[in-house]
Amino acid sequence: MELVNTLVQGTLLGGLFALYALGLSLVFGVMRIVNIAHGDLIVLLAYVGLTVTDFFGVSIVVAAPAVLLLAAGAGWFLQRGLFEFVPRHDPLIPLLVAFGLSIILQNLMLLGFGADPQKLSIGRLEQASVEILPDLHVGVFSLLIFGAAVALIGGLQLMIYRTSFGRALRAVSDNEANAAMLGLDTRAVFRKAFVIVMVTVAIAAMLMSVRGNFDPASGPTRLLTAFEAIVIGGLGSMWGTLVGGVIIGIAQMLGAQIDASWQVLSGHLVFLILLILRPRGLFPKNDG
Amino acid sequence: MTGDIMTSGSQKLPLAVLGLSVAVMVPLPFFVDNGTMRYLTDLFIIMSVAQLWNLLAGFGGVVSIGQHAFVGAGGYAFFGLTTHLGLNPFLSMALTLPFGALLSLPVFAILSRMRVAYFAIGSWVLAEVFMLVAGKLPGFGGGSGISLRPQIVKAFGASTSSRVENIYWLSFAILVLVIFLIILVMHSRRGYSLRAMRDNETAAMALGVNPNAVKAMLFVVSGAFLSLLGAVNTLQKLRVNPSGSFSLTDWTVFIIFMVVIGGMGRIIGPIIGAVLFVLLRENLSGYGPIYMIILGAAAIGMMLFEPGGIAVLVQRWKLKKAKTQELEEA
Repeated sequence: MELVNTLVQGTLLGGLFALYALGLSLVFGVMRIVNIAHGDLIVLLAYVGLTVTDFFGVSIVVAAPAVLLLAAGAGWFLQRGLFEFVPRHDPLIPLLVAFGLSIILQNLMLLGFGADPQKLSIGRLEQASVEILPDLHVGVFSLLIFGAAVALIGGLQLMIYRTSFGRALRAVSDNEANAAMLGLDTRAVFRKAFVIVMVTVAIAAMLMSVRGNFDPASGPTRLLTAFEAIVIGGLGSMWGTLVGGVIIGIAQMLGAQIDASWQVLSGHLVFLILLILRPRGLFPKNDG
Repeated sequence: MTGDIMTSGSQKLPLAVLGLSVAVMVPLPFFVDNGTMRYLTDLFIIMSVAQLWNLLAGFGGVVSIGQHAFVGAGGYAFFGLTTHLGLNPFLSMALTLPFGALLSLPVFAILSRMRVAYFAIGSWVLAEVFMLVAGKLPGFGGGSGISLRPQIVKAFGASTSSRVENIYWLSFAILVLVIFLIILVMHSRRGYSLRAMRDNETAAMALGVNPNAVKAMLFVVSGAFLSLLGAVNTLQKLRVNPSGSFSLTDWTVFIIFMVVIGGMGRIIGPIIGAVLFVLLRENLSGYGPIYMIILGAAAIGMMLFEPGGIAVLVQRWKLKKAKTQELEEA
């Protein structure tokens, strides 16, 4: 029973990791940018959530629409004000720009909010649990996170494969020059894509900030788990990313059984083993 | 990138400059105090690490965010060889070179399975793993680390001032060796194939260059020397501990900023960057986060407007000055 419990907890944790990963995967898929600052953007939006809730004295549930809107605006601004100017012919340049952005964000947050860990609270829902099997209690909020991950992936899949904007995204991702030649406004596509990315980041950030502590330096850990989930799943496969997240989640939970310091390490080790065994991931895409 | 500017110039000038600096730096301990020497030792170590990152990124197009893995591993290897195996301290230090080279082979084998852009984050994951494992090794003091035994430290000089001198010479010798090796590599057949690869990997492959073999060679060279530098750093700090020996900020973040600001893909770049960094640190270190923000912004600005860094900016400014002079004379 102990083992089943660990597996269930790990699976649900994997949903959160998948949420971290979706934006990172989209930015790479569409813009071919490895956004090293991705984890820091998640933490930044958690602080935005904290600020909004503090300022208006409301719960994050009420403040969520405002945070999503701010995130969307920040996404447009990031693309319009920074990434649009980054030459992408040499992958080195966007990589190092994102690296600089990551360090800037971490230190701005340190200046603005201090180094103390923060957490958001939504009251009783956090502690509530349901008994899904005899003797097996699962947190309602963990289920909610996993549900959000599944819903968001489903929604993004629909958007990418069923809408005209999704068609434009795929065209740009396949071949930017061809897409532009066919009359597609690639700059507009990129801006909209970054808006969507930041909305996914905001969703991940709000759920994360309720689930546990965060501080200005916790971005890189988020980046690394997101990255591991993507690589395990296979680049470009969103359901694969969820599976990757679940694998890391379970590995971390099993590691945590030994002691807390094994939690992170066992996640990394499982990632490395899978990278050696399946370098293209579990669900590789031919074009990816 | 700016291929012709970066790759121009013969090896004679850099070698002459290198010779001159040896003539100045080697007798320096007889004229300056311990504090200055410590300061310069620090600079030499930082500069060497920056040269090695530049060798990978600027010349090889391989971005690693996990260089601190090798610095830390070298420090721990030095501690283990001297303290646990009881080997001679000098031999132990020399052995960190092959140790780092051997360690970088499997690391590269794993990382090269990922596409270029993901190599960077992958190297970071590996560095995390190294640091976490170092904290679990029995006999290395766990998470809080452990000090070197006094007799090991004293092997490098019985008195403090003789030790400071010796470590100064040692770190300077490593820096000279690293720069000399990079000049040599860049003017070898491998070096030319590297430039071909940097300009156009597919075309270079068609001409018979194996990019992965060349990158592996660079990675092994840098891993070996980083590990040696980690051993020297341990001798400076007198102890190993996971967060200090494997410092992401010291051995990777600052280093990347130095090279990007100084000028990627040229030997002078990391030298300019490291000197600037050390000078700025003197004046701005009290501002902690603001200093980091300035460095980050400068690096982004450089990447957007002049990926060749200060090195290219200076060169351009000189060209312009020479041209206006010519015009005035005519």
